[in-house]
Amino acid sequence: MDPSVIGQKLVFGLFVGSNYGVVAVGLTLIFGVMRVLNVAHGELVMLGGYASYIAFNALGVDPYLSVVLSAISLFLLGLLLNTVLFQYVERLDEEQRIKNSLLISFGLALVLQNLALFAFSADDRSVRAAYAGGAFVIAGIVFPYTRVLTFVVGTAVVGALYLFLQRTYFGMALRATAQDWEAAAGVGINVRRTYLLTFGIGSALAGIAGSLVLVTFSISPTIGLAWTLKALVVIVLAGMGSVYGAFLAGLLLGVVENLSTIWVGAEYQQMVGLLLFLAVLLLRPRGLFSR
Amino acid sequence: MTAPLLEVRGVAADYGDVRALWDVNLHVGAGEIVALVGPNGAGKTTLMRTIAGLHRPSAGSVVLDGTDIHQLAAHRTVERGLVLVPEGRHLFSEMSVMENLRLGAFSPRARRSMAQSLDRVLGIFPILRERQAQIAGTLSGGQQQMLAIGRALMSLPRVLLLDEPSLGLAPLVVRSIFEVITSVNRDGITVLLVEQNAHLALAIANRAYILEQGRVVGEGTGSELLHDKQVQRAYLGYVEASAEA
Repeated sequence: MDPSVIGQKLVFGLFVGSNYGVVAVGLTLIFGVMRVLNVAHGELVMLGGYASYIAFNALGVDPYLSVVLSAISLFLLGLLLNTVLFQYVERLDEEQRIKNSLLISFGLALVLQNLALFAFSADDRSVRAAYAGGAFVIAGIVFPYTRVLTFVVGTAVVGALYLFLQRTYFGMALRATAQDWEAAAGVGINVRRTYLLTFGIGSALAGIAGSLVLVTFSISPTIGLAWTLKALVVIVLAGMGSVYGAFLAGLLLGVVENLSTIWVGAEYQQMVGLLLFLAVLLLRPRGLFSR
Repeated sequence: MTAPLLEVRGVAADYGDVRALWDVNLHVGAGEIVALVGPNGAGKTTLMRTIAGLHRPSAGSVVLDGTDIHQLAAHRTVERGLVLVPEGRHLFSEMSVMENLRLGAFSPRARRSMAQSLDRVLGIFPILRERQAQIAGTLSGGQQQMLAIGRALMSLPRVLLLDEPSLGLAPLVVRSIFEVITSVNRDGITVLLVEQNAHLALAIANRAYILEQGRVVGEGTGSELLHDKQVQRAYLGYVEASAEA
């Protein structure tokens, strides 16, 4: 086996995996803090993609710059969705929250999907920036500009989230609320507002992921479910609620899927990912990166 | 007598269809230590949670310094100076001792003086200074209780609600916890104390209430109740002693 082939698969796996990671980090942040499982997360990714698509076509904004735009618009949409829908779930017991949020967000996913079909039609969309198609080569391994940028932006976003959660007082309050919301209320943290902002941040991460998906893959109104499922697999691999672990697990899944194409056909790589998922569930059910 | 700092007026509380508290009336004057004793399941913890804003009363009101607070969210009652050290401590167990303490000062009123509060709390509990980088969940039971009280003191309480501070702790540790309670009380913090160990609670309390099956069935000064035959029989384990005498 040519080592540069393995190297190439590894690198592409990391690039794809960074996409998985960013999608999963947003979903697991919301779940970890609020015990709300938002299966419409993939639809938020899809909408983030369209925000970038519109910015590129109407205003000529570079898709990597419009990451900011889709982050802001999805943050605001997240605040809205939390206010009109999910805040009613947050008042329930934790057990009830998971079940009820599943039902509500499944309905929300259908609504968003059909609104997008109505607004944007069912066509696949992607964007081609001027530098798309360009690449540099190191040691026989090809690094396409767009893939590298996607990886860099994704990593930077998760790094920024890490700094926010670990180094700021409000980030500390958010982690405290995730651990024990009653104790958080007991030290004067406004739990309702913390949940609201968490949902906004998680949605913004979905929006950012959407912009990245638009450049590296393509988008259509129906891509949401596939991304939600991918994120759920990644979250279980990482261990529920492990935010940074979700990014690492995303990278791992990308690498495993890509490396598997050396031995099995590319059409089986989804299956290989699911086999990894089953293996982790059997051998280490609390996840790879949970304490 | 001046108006009490904390007043519970005709409070009823329910869990679903089950009533846990019936027409509970009590008051705590500024600077007092008031104990709440009674058997398991009497509703003591429910009453504390209701006062702290974690459980909505079905009837009645909770008044702090002349203002109704029972409709406020829990974080607002903290802002007003009513702070609960809950049963089971509820630390942020995956976070460090220092992070727990700093979070105690989250409400705007307390945040302004976080540095001084930290000095004071670490002065009261020197062990927490030694363990400041340790993860809270890995502390011993006694240290966890100290951290829970320390975190509450970081919120600058006017009224400190303590729910079962001695639960599961060794007698020596219990004694030092109770010394801290009386000492912060001398510094001007009003205390409402729920305690299984009625003997200990009545010994440091100015006054006490007896709660049974969700109702207040008795009250008096600490020493009155300590010497009350019925209370002794029910809560202080004097049955055998008097039978042998």
